[in-house]
Amino acid sequence: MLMFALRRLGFVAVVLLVVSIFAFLVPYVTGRDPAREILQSRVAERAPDEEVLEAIREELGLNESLFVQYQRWLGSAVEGDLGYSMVSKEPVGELLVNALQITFLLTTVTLTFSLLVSLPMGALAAARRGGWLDNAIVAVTQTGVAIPEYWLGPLLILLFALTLGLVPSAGLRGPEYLVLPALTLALRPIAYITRISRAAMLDVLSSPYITAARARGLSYAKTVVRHGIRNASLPVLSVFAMWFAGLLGGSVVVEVIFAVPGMGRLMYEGVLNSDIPLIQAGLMTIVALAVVFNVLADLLYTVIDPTVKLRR
Amino acid sequence: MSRTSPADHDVLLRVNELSTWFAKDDQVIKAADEVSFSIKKGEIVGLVGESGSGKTVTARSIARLISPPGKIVGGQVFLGETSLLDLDEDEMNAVRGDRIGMLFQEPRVMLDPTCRVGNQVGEPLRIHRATSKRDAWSTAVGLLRDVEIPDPEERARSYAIDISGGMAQRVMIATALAAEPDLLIADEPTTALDVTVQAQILQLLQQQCRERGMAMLLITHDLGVVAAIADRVLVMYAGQLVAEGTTEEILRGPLHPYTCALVACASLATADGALVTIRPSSEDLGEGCRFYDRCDLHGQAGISDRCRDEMPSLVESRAGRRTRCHAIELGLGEAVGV
Repeated sequence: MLMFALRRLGFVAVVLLVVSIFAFLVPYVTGRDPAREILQSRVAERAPDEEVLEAIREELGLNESLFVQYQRWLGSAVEGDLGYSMVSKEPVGELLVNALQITFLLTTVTLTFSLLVSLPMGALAAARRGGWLDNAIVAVTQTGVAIPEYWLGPLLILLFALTLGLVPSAGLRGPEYLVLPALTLALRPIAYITRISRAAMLDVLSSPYITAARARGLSYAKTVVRHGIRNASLPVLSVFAMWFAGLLGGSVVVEVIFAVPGMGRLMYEGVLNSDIPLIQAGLMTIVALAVVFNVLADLLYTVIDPTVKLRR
Repeated sequence: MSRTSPADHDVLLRVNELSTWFAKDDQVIKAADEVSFSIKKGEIVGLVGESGSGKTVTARSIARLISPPGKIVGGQVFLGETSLLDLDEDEMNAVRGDRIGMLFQEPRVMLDPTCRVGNQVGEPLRIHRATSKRDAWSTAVGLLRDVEIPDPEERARSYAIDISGGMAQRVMIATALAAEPDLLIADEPTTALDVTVQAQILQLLQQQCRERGMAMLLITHDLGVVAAIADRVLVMYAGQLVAEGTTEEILRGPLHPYTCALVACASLATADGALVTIRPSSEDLGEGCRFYDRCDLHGQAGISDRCRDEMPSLVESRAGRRTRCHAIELGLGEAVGV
């Protein structure tokens, strides 16, 4: 177990190093001059003065070669210094932590709600395989997969915030502000997790060991509880981990629509402003989170299913 | 091996015209067609026949473990005084694993991969005896010792992935024995195992039956298995019982042409060294004898029309010896050298 964890950690380090190169380079491929962008964002009307531009480049180290810049960036990143936002001048680390907290909260609420809906739905569909309820659930999840958030979000605002006035439509000043963004975000995970849990349950229920458990005298319901759920939870867990890591990166669409100051919106604004330190650190953070969650999911598999061998 | 008809109080299981059909498209397959037989207390009865002859369906019908599209459509099954087909689902759950234990062909996939061996072996006790988890575990370890698993404390903690097929079947046997059932239904328990392991498992099964006074319905396509441990033999063909007798009678003096062919196949070669084969059957079953297409006897006996058009019935020639064949019924078997 310990060796497995250590090896996975080594693997994580390699992945992060490779990703750091890409994250560092991404802002440069836009081909825009960050010094010019910054100057224009501060003094809008005047044509940029070459001397001032040069001073900015000097100050931010933009004149050095890319390799030196990368080294310097990575060095301070490892020490925990992610630099300062070019726009707000605030420390990038602080911006990211604040945004992550909010996105983490939104993700947790979204996925808890998704699981509460989709696990019973999936199990029910599997138990009633081929029946009208199963068909209905499959049809609904198929539709759910296809509905885009930029359409569902405004629709929910129109219905629940503007017409019915039940919940606020934008901002984040209390728990009730999370309702609509979480609902919007939950639709697709609900659809996917329902489908995977239905498939997993069907697979398990047709397994020989279920028949064997019935032959020992367990009722059908108890067989499902004692021998079905644990076995069916593995594929569900992997899809869940994928969604968790994915949503932690923040949803640009939902966070912009509902004015939630999370990761998605932070990155969106960073890109709009060519805020290079913010983009670089944000990308690294999102990737690191995804990788870490995958490793955690792998470790959790081995706890649930002894047949998952700890190798690689 | 009493030749006399068993007194009723000796009978443990009585299956009476049990029929289980499978609906396939708009066709009905009579997987078990009016099957009747009985098993005495402590008796080992072999149920033989080729793949698809209805052995497994018959066995699972007794335990009512038939899932759609299969359906038990008629007949009666008595376990002691209890009419199993009349029980509701809860009452039937109380019978399974308690009074009837079951073994299956592929023991390893019959074990829940996420459940420790000891917990599975003890599960019947948890279900039927309301035994505490701790007590069930220690009983399970004892049962694993009974089925000759080395180092049972250690094995009880392992998972299906960690054990071999032969070991898994021993675990399944221990599980089936846990609640001390009266009847063990063993569906091809040695088919998937190595030849060397097969004999050990059979010996173990026979020994456990004798020690516990437990009866066993042993399903197999291997006459060698039957010869080794069965007291009596039932032969199934195309969903019907076609022959019944003591192991001695069936193996030494088979009457039904299908049984004759099976026995000849089992001894591998005829006197002149040629392998014996049975002609494959045609798909559609007519009104008459289901073995008609593959049988040589009706031609030799000169009763082909009757065999083709009229279903022979299972006729008792002497106590406990039954055969479903017109030629045998008419006493024509000997005339052509069967």
